[in-house]
Amino acid sequence: MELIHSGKVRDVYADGDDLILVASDRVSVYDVVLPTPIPGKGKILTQLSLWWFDQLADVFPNHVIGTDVPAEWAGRAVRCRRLEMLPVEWIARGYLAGLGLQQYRAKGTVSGVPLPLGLLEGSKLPEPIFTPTTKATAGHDEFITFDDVVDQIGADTAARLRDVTLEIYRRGAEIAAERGIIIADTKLEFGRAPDGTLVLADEVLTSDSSRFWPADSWEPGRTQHALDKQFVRDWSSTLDWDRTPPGPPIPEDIVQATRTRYIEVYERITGLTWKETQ
Amino acid sequence: MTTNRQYFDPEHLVREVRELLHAHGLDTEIPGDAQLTRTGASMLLRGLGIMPGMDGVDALARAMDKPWVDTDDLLAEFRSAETDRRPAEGETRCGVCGHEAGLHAGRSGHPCDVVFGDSDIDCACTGFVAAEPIR
Repeated sequence: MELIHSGKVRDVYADGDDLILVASDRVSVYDVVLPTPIPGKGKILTQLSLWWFDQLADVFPNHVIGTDVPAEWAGRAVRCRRLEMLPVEWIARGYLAGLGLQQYRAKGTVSGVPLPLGLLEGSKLPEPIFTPTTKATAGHDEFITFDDVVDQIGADTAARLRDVTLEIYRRGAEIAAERGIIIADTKLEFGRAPDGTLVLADEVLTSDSSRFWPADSWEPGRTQHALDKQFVRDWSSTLDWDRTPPGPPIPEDIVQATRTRYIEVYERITGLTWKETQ
Repeated sequence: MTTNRQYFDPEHLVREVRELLHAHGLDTEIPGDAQLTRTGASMLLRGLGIMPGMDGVDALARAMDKPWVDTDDLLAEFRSAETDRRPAEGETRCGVCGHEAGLHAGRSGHPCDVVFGDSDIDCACTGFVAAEPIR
């Protein structure tokens, strides 16, 4: 087992031809990892992602081989196929937030998709839209249009994965909505297996890759509350901190409240009871 | 056309082409909208029967280093700020990150881009990761 990358919130190991993705309990705010972990976060998000992969198995094949991993990572690691990744971030947005909101305000479009006038921060879009970005190893990601994706990877693959991205978002948003949670948007990754098969990769519909908002407090025209990280965000916003590393340690009450919220999100979405031994 | 399942990273191709052109005495620069460069590299690869792709580990590493929601929020904040805080003519430091103008070398419309140059310094305040410098 070889550690080949230690990321801000997850690590990746190689085991022969397989990769093992290990989720840590580290938490980031404004892209800065805070020094205090949220106990159980890695397990909860891994189990949520696995649950989603299972729910979406009929929509598209995924990279998960199983959970046969060393005992010390049990519950927070996934054994995956090693893929060649497509150089595009596959993003679906059902609501206006983040970079989508910023581009709408500047241009009235997002990734070349025209949107109606008068939308506000947090507004629900008439229908989910596909808003791909570049996947640059250097520099910022940039919005690109569907036509740009066609130029980069070909019309058939581009159309297929656009449709799959929107279908996964719709399916996920529908399931979450039944449980009182808005999935505002999501980012997916796709790759090709050695036999050329297109495969859904990385994680899917977790709070690191999607915006989760509580439906009962959704109100267009203001910044929406993040369902799980909001305690950390609210607390960090009260600090005299410039949002650059190193981040401040998180007080114990915020740690516990955040942990409780992660569990709540897991239980509400999956309908399952979170078990500490999971 | 691309049935031979060979892959190559378009960004890597761009770097190598720039080095090749540099060796021929030519100066290259990537415009603020680098999409033309990326798309051109991908189309060249496809035209040669090679699929544009990224190494799986590199792609995962990137995702693991930058949770998407954080990055999307940060970039939105930065984009809004840069409109208001672009350094005035004659100023030598970026109004957003304080780095010297030109540090980030013509990428992505960053305020530092007022003068072209090359750098291997990351800009933590904007989530910017500099490219490998071109010799």
